[in-house]
Amino acid sequence: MPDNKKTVMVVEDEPLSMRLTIDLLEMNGFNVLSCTDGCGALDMLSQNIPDLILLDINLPRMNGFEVYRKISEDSRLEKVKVVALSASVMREDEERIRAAGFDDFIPKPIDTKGLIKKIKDHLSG
Amino acid sequence: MSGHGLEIQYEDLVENANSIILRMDMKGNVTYFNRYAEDFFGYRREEIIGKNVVGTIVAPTDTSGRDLKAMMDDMALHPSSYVNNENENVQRNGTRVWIAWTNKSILDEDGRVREIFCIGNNITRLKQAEEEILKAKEAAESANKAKSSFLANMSHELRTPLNAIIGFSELIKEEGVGPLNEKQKEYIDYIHESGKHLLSLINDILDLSKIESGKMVLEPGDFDLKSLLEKSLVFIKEKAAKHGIALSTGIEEGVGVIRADERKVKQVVFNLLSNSMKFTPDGGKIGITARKSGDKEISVCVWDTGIGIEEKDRGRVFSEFEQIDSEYSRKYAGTGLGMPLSRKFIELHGGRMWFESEGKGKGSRFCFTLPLSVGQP
Repeated sequence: MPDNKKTVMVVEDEPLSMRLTIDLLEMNGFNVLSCTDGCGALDMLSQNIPDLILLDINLPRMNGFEVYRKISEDSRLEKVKVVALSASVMREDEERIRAAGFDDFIPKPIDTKGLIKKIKDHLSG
Repeated sequence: MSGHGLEIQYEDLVENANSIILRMDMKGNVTYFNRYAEDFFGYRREEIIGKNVVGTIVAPTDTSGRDLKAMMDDMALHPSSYVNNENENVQRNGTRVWIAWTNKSILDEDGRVREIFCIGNNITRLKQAEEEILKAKEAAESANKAKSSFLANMSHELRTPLNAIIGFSELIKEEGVGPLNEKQKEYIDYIHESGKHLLSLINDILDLSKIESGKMVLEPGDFDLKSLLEKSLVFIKEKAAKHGIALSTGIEEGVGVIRADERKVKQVVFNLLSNSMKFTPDGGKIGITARKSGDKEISVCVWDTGIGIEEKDRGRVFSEFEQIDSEYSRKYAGTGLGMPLSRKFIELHGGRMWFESEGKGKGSRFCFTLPLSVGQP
């Protein structure tokens, strides 16, 4: 059922993490859009509306929080789930992410099975 | 003794006191200056009487830039606010000194403040010591801040490559990219386990440093301890079966819902069980017992028939980065931080942790207590 495939957008600047996430998503039957910084992501979002965005927090130039703010200001993207990914996992970091309003937070290194399960949970809910 | 004689005696007292004693009028002009003040500040009284304190023993501004001229003006207006006052003064040769002053208003017949009577003691050395302590405290605080931010950065930087190591090895391990032969399966397991091991090291180091800096806080909640203990055994079930190790539980009546930090208790139990797994030879036994002791505490023990702890190693069990060497310890050694961390988690709850072992080859028992409700005596 190729038409029912859900689309996940990956915003990640670190090449190996990007490759891992893309391959993992494709292996699990998702369409994947990807870009390596916040500006690119916002450009891409003006043309495409994914079902879920995996957004790295530590991005160059425009960080994940700023990208998230822009996304939440865009009414076209109201239904899009946004999940933060970060290797900053101190309590303060996580609290800041939760407080910003993201749908979820996934710490790095990612647990591959856990990540897929979380994405599926968000997309079925 | 006549009244006049008494006056002379008091004058003598003031004159010879081992404190700075002076009087000034409301403009700040000196009207009296005792001998000690002469020696201390380096002015003879005939030189200073009639002169203003600002410009002689008071510099217009102190070393930190505080406006002392304004302070003197204010003192003339509100003498009662300056009964006890510490400020910087200056000796004739320019040396800055700190004086603790007690200032008393002298009233005329109409009850108006006419002069201020000042007694001063040199506290320069005290002030210097205070400043040094303050500097040392600031240095210690900034070193501590640097350490915290170093740890946070280290944690972040190590997680990025670990993401690739753990993630890609998981994909290969699951044979999502093609079937593996036996050797490949074995090797990829090593890579994956080693990556996970590194990750737990990083997490343990962060936890320990949080405990040491007093930043570790408990997140207490109500949970069923009995079910937590039973579920923990499930995690090692598979591995135990592989090594022919029998598992057992002995959880008594009365062990149920407690109030504690569930995540940390889980981590402690899991750590004890994996230690037992590591040090118990094939065909042995591992068990958990728990019972209520008294009406405020639960005690939990994890026991095994493993290699036990020799007398000479007893002191090292709860030390950081220590591991008891053993031919039995299984493929993946622990971080060496599990035991000290576990004990600290239990102590944060107000509980105790200890172990019992009758010696080499006789197995061991690790026990801890937890209050039924954390934070309540």
